[in-house]
Amino acid sequence: MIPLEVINPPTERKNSPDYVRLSAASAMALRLQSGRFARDFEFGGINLLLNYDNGCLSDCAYCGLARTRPGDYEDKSFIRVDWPLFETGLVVERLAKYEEKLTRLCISMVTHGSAYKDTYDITERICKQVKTPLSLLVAPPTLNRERLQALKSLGTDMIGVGLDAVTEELFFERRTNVPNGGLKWKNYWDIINYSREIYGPWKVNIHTVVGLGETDRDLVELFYALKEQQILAYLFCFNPEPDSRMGNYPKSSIKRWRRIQLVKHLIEEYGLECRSIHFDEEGNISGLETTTSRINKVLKTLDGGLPFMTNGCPGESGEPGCTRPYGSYRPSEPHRDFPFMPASNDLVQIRKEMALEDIII
Amino acid sequence: MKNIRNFNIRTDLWYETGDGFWLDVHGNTARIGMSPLVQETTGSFVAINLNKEATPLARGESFGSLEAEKHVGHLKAPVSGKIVTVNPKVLENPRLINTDPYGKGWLVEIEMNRFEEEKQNLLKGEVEVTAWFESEIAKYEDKGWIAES
Repeated sequence: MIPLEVINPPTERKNSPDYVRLSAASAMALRLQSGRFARDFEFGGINLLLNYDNGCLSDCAYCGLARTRPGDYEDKSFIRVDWPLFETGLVVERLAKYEEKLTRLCISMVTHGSAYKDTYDITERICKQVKTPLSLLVAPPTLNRERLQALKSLGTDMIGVGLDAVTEELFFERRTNVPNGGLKWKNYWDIINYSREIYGPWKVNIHTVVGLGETDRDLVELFYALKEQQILAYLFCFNPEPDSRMGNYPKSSIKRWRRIQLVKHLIEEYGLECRSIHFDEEGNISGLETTTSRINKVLKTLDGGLPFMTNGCPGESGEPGCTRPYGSYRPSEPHRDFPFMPASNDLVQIRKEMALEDIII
Repeated sequence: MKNIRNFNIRTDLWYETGDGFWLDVHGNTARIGMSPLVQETTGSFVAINLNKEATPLARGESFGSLEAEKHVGHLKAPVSGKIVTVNPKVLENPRLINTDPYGKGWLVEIEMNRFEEEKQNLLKGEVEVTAWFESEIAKYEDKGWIAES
């Protein structure tokens, strides 16, 4: 019998755990890809992302990896840049080689049936060879308390949860009630709470995206609630992914974004009281009372630019670790968050963008 | 085409050594593009703006800007003159600069008006171009801009 010719022969699968994607900046830092940054600075925050033929099974309206966004998973951009694929062994080898320059590592899960076991496998491989602190940005539907405990026992020190949408209603609209979605607000919060219990105070962070349709009040309320629980809030700026369902949704104005960065910093670092923040009828920040001399000083100095730096997991000694350069803006646009301390001319620009004098009471 | 440490370099062209442009000179017209070394170490291009045809330029003046995934910068004219042709294909698809830097990825053609005087700032000749590229590659490697194989 003559064997039939195979039509569309299967191609080699380059799935995790044997393969992993790296952010473009990480691939450059590990010398796996040529390239440079628009401004010269030390970069050592390496982001890894799981990879599967069938991609992420979530379908979040704003995400570059969304299931129904056109294109093959491997070709999809995430936060608007390519994430090249590499053999995990090679990545671990380079992490070990460049360990001295690295500040923070992070593995991002995606919603997939194999994500937990593959994250476990990759974490184990990294922790055996590299001492740089390792965070996990987890996919709550793939986890439970026992699994989180197991990931901690491997040596990870921080957990991130991409809540992204900061109210239950918005979460439902952007992440649950979508064509192939179904993510659950309660599931996310269960995992946040288990993580807090297992990893401890200030070792869990929640990603909050500015610009998905929330109000300033929604964000501020969450910042206070998280601070109360000793959970970190990390700010991300919505950056429309072409062809995603929110591809034509406008990005929040730079004025709003800067004010939120500043107010968050004042809440977290200077104990700004909730009653000092005034909101208009639509829930936008309309006034800021300067009640203490410390806060007054920050408004004058902008704290040297600290409020406008990237929110991310720290390095071993508390220095900025994960800095995601050009993650939520193009190099030709103003830095939404700075992967380095803003320079004095940046501060002049930031002050203009924020129009702070319009809201100071 | 000559292979210099994994970069395929045309050594028959003029080169501007500051920003790494190549110039293919015919009479008083130069077609200008980006060298393979500079394009690779700048990253994947995502956007390009080029000044319109007939724009007069002095050497060193901006004739546009290029944006890669993690980098943005002005394009400085390597010679004086006026732009006579802008490559429409590269405006549509800036990645052509990455995939075919000496071919479809050329940027503009300039009608030069001071070439005899300005060519002293350019480099030509196989020996000179090879030596220059070798030193540039070493410099870029030191900066960590080139992937390790």
